[in-house]
Amino acid sequence: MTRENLTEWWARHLDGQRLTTEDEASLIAGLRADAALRAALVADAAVDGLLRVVTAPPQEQRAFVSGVSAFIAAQADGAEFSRRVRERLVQSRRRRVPRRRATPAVVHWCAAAMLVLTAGAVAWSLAPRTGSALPSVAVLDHRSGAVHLERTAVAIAVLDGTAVVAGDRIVIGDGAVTLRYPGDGTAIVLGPDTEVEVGQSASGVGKLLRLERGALIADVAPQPAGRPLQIRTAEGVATVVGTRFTLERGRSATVLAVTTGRVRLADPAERGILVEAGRTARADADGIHLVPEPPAVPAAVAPAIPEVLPVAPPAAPEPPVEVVTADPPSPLPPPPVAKPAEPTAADFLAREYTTPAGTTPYRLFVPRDQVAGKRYPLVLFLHGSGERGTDNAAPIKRQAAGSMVFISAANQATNPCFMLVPQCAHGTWTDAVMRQHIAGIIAELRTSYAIDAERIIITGYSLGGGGTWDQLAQNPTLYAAAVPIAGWGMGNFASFSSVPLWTFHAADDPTVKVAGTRAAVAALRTVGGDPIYTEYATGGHASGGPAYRTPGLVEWAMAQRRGVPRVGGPRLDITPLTAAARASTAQRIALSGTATADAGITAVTWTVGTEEGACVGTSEWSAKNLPLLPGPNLLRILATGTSWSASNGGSTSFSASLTVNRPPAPLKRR
Amino acid sequence: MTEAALIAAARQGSHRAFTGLVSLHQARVRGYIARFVSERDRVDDIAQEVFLAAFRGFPRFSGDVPVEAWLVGIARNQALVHLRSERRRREAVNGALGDALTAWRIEMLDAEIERGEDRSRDVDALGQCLGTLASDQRSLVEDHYLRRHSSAMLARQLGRGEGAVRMMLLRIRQTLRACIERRLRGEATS
Repeated sequence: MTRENLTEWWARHLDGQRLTTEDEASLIAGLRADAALRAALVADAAVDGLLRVVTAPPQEQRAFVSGVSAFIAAQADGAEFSRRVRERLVQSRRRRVPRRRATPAVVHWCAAAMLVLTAGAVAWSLAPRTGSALPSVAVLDHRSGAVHLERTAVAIAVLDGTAVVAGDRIVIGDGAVTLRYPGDGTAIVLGPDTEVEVGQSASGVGKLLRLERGALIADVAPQPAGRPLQIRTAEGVATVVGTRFTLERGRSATVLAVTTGRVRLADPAERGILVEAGRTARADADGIHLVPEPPAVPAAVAPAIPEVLPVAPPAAPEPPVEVVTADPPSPLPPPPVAKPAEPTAADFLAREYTTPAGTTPYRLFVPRDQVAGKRYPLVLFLHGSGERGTDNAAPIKRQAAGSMVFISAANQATNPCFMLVPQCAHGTWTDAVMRQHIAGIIAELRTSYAIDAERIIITGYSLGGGGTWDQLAQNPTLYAAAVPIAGWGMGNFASFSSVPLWTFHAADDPTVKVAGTRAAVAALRTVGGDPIYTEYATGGHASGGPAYRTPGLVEWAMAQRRGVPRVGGPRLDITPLTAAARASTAQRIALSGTATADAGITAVTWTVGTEEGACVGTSEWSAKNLPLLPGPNLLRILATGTSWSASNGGSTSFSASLTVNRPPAPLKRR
Repeated sequence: MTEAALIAAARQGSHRAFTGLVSLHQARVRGYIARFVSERDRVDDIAQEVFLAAFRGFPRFSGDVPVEAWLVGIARNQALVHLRSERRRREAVNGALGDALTAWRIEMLDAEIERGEDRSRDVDALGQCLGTLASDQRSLVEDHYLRRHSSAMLARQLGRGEGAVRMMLLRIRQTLRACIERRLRGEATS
């Protein structure tokens, strides 16, 4: 047994791998015998632990500070709280049963409740002491202060170990108690001045509580699939599969603060959001909304400390806290080589979406500083064939083919948006499972985030460019705008011809031939669509970079709205025909209008059926003698201008069309 | 608000000011505890206990040592309490190696206390040392610790064996540890 063996086993252990019993015994014996190696490896564990803290993402640090802040707020409020509870108890003694009116939203924790929470891992006794005809669902322990149970209108004093049955109401005065579910170790600390009714499990629901007033801290073990724990209040329903959070019912609002995991908070009509670790959400008469995230911690300027639990009307309002430090500790120092401030993988959440058909990993960027009640666009990016797999990393390498421009600091400052990057495990985006999963992920995100359904933008490169065309054909009314790049255009073009679309391809692309995009653009224009098409003269398959750098592209995409004709960007307008012109039976017609683009327009042409010709002028153009046949005629005006890429050359074309119905010539009367 | 102003306001009972102190010092306190505790959640639980104890004891904080040193003193005690209770738990979930490691960690902590070392600065030193890593080492650290890519995942990405990746990570940690020690010694002698 060499030091190398020992070190290797150690590395495996630290990596969370199981060692065989023999290897583990040998490692222990070896390290006992070798004090120097032992000291080195214990110190290695220390560096391992430090690295986990030093590299922790800012939201984890914020969650920690918010959690401590909530408890401290409670502590700070303790004296005032005790006074009010004493008052309330005096009143309730006169009535025998405590009043059930909603108390002001100032309920906080006393020290006892906090200690109970932090002792969550301590072993506890399961044995319920109070007999009951109904099966007990949970046990109360760690009681402190005034706690009693109401069972069929009888008040029962609570001792540690008192069993709770469905229908029980737990009433806490100046005290606290822990509600424990013996089955899985779920522990819910009920704070002072809190009233909770224990519900009967129903179909689709496992453990059920109704928080009438007050606050609780829940540490929920993973719950069985399809049987989540639910905590209901008048304003909302928190649905939990396994996580740690606090929930408070105030005068007219319910506040949920999630420490780890995720909790769904919904209103009584089941409209809700998923609340992530570190976030706080509120349910009130206006519905469910996220409380804006506190700014990054630590920082040169102090965090605006979120009032996770609203504080009692303060005796004297405190000024906002500002911290100035000479040398703010930063979670990670800047790397030795300065990088441009581009978004990185660290800006994305890593998630998975699973159905019986399989698992699709995906990345999600969530815009910072969301404003409650506001909704934000979602940009969906489909990657190329080289990024397929399940590592959930390849698609966002190299700036996701350039599409991460949507989440650049510059764009987020003016157009905050979500960005979704699913990963196609194998096959293509047009496989049934991928179509189903894309729709499923979007639907799921829409229930949990403030996504503006009117502004879902789809873009993709190469295989994902083809996927973008396919998505339009599959969901012609889902997307506000589409930007397929170097993809093979396909689908029923008539079904999505009205969706604002800007597509890019290089004429010399050796991988995906330009013919596919040309055909798609021609097909769209034939059925009345007005796509913008930038075709580079050179550049091969690498058209993602120049395409996503096109000036105005991002702004154009963000400006579109579902079901609304495209606005902004390069555009061409035809001056509406006069009533006389529309009624004319003449075989020729004249049109005029304008063409707008950031850079010069080089030509404007017209097409009617198989005939075409040049218009006079560019930004203001006109054309005479366009031929009309009896019946409907599709008149198309096409402008051509720069590709905005000096190195790739080529051009951008955009068009507008007009259908003119030429009345049949009146019959001559005899 | 400067730290001194935060301290003054916290003494007056302002919990918001105290929270400001929490955000200033959480990285060092959590880092200090993480040196002895493997489970991420437990690190935060213990750090929370440290700050709650500090808040309760703040009126008694004399001010003749920096707040940070005072907090680290509390953290040291909490770490010891935790390690000892771990050792007492007979059926430790970590198994025999976990038990042994707990005992060795107590050994390390006792030795540090005996030598009068302040290891709360390790977290700052590590931050500086990370900046000196070669870029491939740095990205391996970020992939493993920040993005939580497993060794198996990293092995696939790098086209190496899992064991090789684990040894690469171990060597990087050794480099970092040597760097931390150098920096702490440098600080002590200057």
